Amino acid sequence: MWIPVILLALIIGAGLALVDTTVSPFGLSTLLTLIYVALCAATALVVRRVTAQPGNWLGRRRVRRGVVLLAVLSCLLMVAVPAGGLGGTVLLLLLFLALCNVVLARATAQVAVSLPRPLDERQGSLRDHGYRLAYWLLAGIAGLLALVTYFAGSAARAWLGTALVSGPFIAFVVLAICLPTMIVAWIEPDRVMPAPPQSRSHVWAVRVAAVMVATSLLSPLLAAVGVELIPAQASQLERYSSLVSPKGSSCATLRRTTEIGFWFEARFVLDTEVCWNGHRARYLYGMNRSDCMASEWVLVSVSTSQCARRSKPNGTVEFNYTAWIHPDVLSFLARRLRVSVAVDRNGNVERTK
Amino acid sequence: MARKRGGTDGGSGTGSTRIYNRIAVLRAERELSRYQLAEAVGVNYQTIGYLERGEYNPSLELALRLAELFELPVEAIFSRQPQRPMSEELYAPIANG
Repeated sequence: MWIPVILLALIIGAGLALVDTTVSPFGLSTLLTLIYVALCAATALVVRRVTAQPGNWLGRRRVRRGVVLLAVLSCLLMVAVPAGGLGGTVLLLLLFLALCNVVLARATAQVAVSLPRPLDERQGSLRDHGYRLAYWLLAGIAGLLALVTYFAGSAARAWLGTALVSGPFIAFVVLAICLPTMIVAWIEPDRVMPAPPQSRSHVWAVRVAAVMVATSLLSPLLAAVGVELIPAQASQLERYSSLVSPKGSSCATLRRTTEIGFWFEARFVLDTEVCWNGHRARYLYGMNRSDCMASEWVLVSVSTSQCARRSKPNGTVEFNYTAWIHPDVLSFLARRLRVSVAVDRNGNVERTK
Repeated sequence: MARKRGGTDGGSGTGSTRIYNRIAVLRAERELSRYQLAEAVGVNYQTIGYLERGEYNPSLELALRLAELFELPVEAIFSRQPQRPMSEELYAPIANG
């Protein structure tokens, strides 16, 4: 029932993105983001339908409890994230929680989530027990929050206000979704080994699901690392005649555009106004923020660290734009990008990056 | 020796009393794998494993299905007391005259 809806949404989204691509080169990033969302939805559907038996390792209760504790720790870290925004840390923790949930779903043979598949009496009672405990735990958390809100001072209320749009709220939603699986993984005893042999088609379905899960989880991480590693793409220098030319000088407007990253990407523009007279080159105006700017950015944050120009003793004038780029996922990664344009006393561009 | 109870029947309405059974012996006698037995009585093969390990108490319906399959009365398969080996139960009366 859901597949036609998702396909329709994908087709409409891809169509809109293609139209956008004709307007902006960054439409490709929009298209990739839409494809990624569709991939996540398709992965969720496939994983839900393919029941994979946990191997020897995941069948052990001790291992499952370790994964549950990691997931709980991630939720606690998410609560501790400073309120006020959905930064890269929250996204990273969300990815990790998604991975934990996939691992736990497999470890429990998806007992808590596989509604279309008939469960036997033990599995049914296990699932019901998981949901019952999850309900009381969530009700307890909600009740505790209500009590805190009632008795809290203004500072705590301010924290709660911002928490509703940041990490703590997301942690609560994630818990509401994942808690039954986590509880089932916690209480189910060690599984009986070995698992019965599976049909070839089932083995392939499990492999496809595993590849889709890995792709969904790794793509954002790879794109974030790509911001760090992929070489910057500098466009050809655009050169326009300047409308203003002091007597005895020639002037031009120069524009250097540089793009960095793939999917998680940003475009930087350095605009300069320069004049030269055979003795020396000089800048026409002082530089301001509009001369050095990130014109577009997708899933990265950008901060300008330098926007300056200087004249050299040999008559050359150099313009520099330096910026830091942080991917929204793995935001502890940072890349320093420097865009330079140097014009000599005869109006030749000496060096560009 | 009684094995420590697991948590699979928590809240299932099967109570907290341990029910002992001879499913593992009967299955071995009939040369059935856990998977085949599970298929025959319509449960997951893990459930058979948990039953054999005493970590799950079956519903009355599942107990009756197992009894039908093994062609034995329910009390020959399940007991509230630890069960003696079948050979002992069979030959002890003969040995005692």
